[in-house]
Amino acid sequence: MRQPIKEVRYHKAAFTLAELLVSVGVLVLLVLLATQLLNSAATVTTLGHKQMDADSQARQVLDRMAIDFAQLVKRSDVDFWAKGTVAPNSVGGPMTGNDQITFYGTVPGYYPPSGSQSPVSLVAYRINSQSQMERMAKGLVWNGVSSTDTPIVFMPVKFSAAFPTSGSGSDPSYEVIGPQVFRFEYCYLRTDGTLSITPPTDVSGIAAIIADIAVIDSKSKVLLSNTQISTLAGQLSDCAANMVPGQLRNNWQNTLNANTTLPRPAVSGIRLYERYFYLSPPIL
Amino acid sequence: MKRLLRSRHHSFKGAALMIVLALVVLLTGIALAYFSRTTTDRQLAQSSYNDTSADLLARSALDITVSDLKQEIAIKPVTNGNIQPSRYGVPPITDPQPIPNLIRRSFSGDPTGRTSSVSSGAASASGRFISLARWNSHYLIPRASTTNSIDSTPVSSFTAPDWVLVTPQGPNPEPAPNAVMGRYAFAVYDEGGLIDVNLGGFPTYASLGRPTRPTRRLRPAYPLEESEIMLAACQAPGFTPNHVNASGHTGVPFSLTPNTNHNPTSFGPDILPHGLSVNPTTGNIYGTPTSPGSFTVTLSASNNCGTGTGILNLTIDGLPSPDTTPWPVNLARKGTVAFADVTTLPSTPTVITPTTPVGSMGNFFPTSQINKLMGWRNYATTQQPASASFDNPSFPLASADNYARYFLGATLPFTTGFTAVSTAVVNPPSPGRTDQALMTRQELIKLQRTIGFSQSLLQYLGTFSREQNRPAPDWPQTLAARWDMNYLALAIPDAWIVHPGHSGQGHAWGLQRHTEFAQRFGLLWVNGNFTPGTRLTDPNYYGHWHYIHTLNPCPANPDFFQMIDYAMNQAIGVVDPDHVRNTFNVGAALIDQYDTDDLYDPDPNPPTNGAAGNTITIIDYGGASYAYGIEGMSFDDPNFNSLRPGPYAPFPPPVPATYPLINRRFENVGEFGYAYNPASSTAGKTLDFASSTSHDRAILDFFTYNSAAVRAGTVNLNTRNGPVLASIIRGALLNDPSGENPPTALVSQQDALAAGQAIVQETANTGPALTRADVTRLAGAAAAAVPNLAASDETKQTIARALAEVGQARTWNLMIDVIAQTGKYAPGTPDLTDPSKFTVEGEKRYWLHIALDRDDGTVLGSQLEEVLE
Repeated sequence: MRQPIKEVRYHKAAFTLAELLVSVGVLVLLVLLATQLLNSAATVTTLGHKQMDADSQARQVLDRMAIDFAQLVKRSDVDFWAKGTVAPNSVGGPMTGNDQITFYGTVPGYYPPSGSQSPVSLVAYRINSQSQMERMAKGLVWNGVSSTDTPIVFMPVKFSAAFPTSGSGSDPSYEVIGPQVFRFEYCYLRTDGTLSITPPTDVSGIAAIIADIAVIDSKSKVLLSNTQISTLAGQLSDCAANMVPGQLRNNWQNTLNANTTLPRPAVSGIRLYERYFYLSPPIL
Repeated sequence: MKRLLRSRHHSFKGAALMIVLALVVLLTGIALAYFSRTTTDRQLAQSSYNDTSADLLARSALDITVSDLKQEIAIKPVTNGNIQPSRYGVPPITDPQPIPNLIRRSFSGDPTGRTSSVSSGAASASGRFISLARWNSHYLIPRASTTNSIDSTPVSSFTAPDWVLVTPQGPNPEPAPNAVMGRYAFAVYDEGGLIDVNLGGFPTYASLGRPTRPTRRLRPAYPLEESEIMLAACQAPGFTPNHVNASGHTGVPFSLTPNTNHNPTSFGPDILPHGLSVNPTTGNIYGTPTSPGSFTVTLSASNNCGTGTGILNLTIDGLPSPDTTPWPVNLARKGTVAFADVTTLPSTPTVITPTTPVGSMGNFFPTSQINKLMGWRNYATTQQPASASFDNPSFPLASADNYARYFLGATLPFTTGFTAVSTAVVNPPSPGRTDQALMTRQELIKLQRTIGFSQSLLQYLGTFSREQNRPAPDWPQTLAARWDMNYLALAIPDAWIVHPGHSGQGHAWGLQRHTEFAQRFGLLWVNGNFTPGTRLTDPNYYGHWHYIHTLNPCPANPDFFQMIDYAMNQAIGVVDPDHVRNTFNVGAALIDQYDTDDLYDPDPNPPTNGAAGNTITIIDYGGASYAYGIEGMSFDDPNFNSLRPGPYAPFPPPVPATYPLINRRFENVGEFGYAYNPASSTAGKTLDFASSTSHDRAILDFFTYNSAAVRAGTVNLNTRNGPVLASIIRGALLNDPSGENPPTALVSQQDALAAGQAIVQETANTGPALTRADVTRLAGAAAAAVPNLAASDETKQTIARALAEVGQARTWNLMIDVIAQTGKYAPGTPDLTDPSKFTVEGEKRYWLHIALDRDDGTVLGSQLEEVLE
């Protein structure tokens, strides 16, 4: 009776200690490798998603701008409030830091609840105090419909007279269009081929508006405070008169690369975009 | 045991399978989600790319189209054959269904040599095509339909433009299908031949007659024997009492109706303190005086037996208050096109040919729609009562100067041309001013939908116009700018503001800008010698002007007289031995007519001393030669100054009875035709602005009321839209209203339409106008076709007064309609015969409004309008 038991014990599968150690070691190695792989994959995926987030935001904002600039009323006898504009347009000034722009556009807007709607809106872009891009589309009614709603006007009536809060202040018509866009800068490509920070008096003398935006994805943004984002935005330089195409974006990238005060993951989540919005055929 | 082990073994296998499957599903899900987002992103990017590509293609197409136009502009000299952009792909003007606005369209065989034979009306692979109605969504082509339903389908004479196929090497009329990367088609329209809706057509007054105009004084009436005979037969009216004392206050409305007898039927106008007018029917003197002082006014009342006079001693207290210039002048600052009466635009028939009978035109703009279309656009109409609404505007004030103030919303001095583009700044901006802007054509079309006027009227209305305001460069001597006739205001005494009671003694005071006056006119003031006994014989008795420049040669920046002399002689190749005398006669006459209404001061001298008091312009132009202006009256004229019954200065000699004198500031350069020229060949001895051979015609091109370098609201004189010209002519006066208040002497609608048709025939058949001087030819053609215009020298020149300031011939105001599509032909497509093989990937449509100077190709202005459909 004892013999069969011994046989069973003899035939029972078993590993030696060495085998176990090797197998455990291999297992640990595999787990480590897998973890590394997963980490790398997660990092890549996260980065990809962050980039896609930023891309999506940028595309949304830039496409909206493309539509708005395409519908900008490009004639010399209506007001155009932008960087460097001078009389008879509203005086825009040099605009240090984030830029703003306001113009008439034939895009739908938010109209007053009553009255006959015209096809024209007052459109504006700016960065608010929360480092978010805002857009205004104030729908205008036909002249005479209302004694309080300002209609569409020719110069010499300017935005500053007709819409006192169109350039700054807390106009309720502004809405956040790019919560992750924290820097907005633009300059002009004139029809004579030069880059400029001052537009010609006649808006139709602008071949294109070159807009640069800096976007920080939502995951990176939580790593920074509003103050840090504002400070960083201030460090990204303004358009200068003697720049060449692409130089501003390059300057911004260099500034980001040289930054050592902010968490690297946050800085690396910032994406820069530049786009040309053509307003008129170049030869005109 | 084996069963148990087998069972456990299967369980493990199942679990492993489940885990594997779950992982596979998870991975698949992740992959799908990733690819899904990527695909969406890619589609968005592709869409954005196609949109951008089509945009670039459309802009390139515009560049090419504009370049073609600029190449035409490079052709010199400017002649009848090339003053306008060449027309192609357009039905001839003699076609039963002409398209007046269409300049050209792309079609196979056109002069560019780039256009393929593929029609834009042919369906592509997706079945899409550019319908005719879509090509006419701007309504610049006459509609086929006369119903009110929204339908822009054009008349059958319009053919859809053909595509210009674009390859990487550029446009090619017959490329290999696989080389095609996109295509575009275009049509070009003459937007300059339209009424600029932002300036044209002042609001029709719904509940009032036309606004009143200030009265003017009559020219001297010389006593006739017949009137004495008639006096014996019946009794002329008189004033009872014949002396009335009254007082008023500046800025306070004044009204007085003196008592009369013998039933006067009319009351003659007289000199009245500034701001007051007289009703010619009732004799009521009304208005708001602006100038303080004591005035002796001679009242006159007439019936068929004669005229009686009375004296009104009027004292106006208070301080001088600023006043506007006469309202027509103020309105003119907005551009005389503001007088265009758009009620003359017919909506039927939709197609107007140059030979369409006026009687068959109808369905004109109703007043209610004009009020809606034009009423809210002007500052005048923003001064609305609380009861007014968008659909029911109100125009409460009819007073002439109030009307002017409404339009301008400003006080003196008006120094900025209102129609100046870009630089027109009212300082300070008028509070509450809300000029309605129709900034795009799509906006105008949207307004049509809102208001509901006939869609056919859109073919007469534009939203963009510009003009280079300068004489044509091809006159013998190129002049940089037109002479600003507002400088005539320098001759106006400013006494009631600066020196009360001291004007009226000639024009010595001017506007206190003597240096500028000497520069602009070359005139210096010489005090009168007042030598006793020489008043009737010596021109130097009174103060007078002395000309200090020389007429020839004409400098680059000529003075008033040099410009007149150049226009009437060298410019047109005339050698007149008496040109110096004629030049100064005309110049003095113009100065005198322009300034008269400002001399309201009483004769400052006692009637007995015989000194001073003359207001006639006397110019000593050298060699003891004098030119005399034509004054409405002189203080020495016994017919107007009963306190001085003696003989008056015989300067100037009496003018013929047919001479039409105006006595106010000029509204536009056409009114220079009222200048008195003893050497004129016309019956009334005025300048001749109504014949093609006139020696005075160049004046129209050398002077201007609005001196802005680039102006808006001007109309192409060579337009083929007769009703457009008719709407401008309809707002013109056949005769200066004189005492007629309100005026009724406007050109009738029928005559205006007939004149517009005649002018289109003239420019289309005889030749287009080359400069504004050709307006005299157009006036002659209109007068030949319309009997009421041919009635007198004054009526003949109606066309010149209406069109000279508002017309232009040297700027191409065009609207280029371009549709561009990116895409490609299906692989293996053998040729271009099957348009359905083309796959459209992106599409863009633009309306480019552009103003090109015909002389140097300068882009005076442009507006790119992206069309959303």
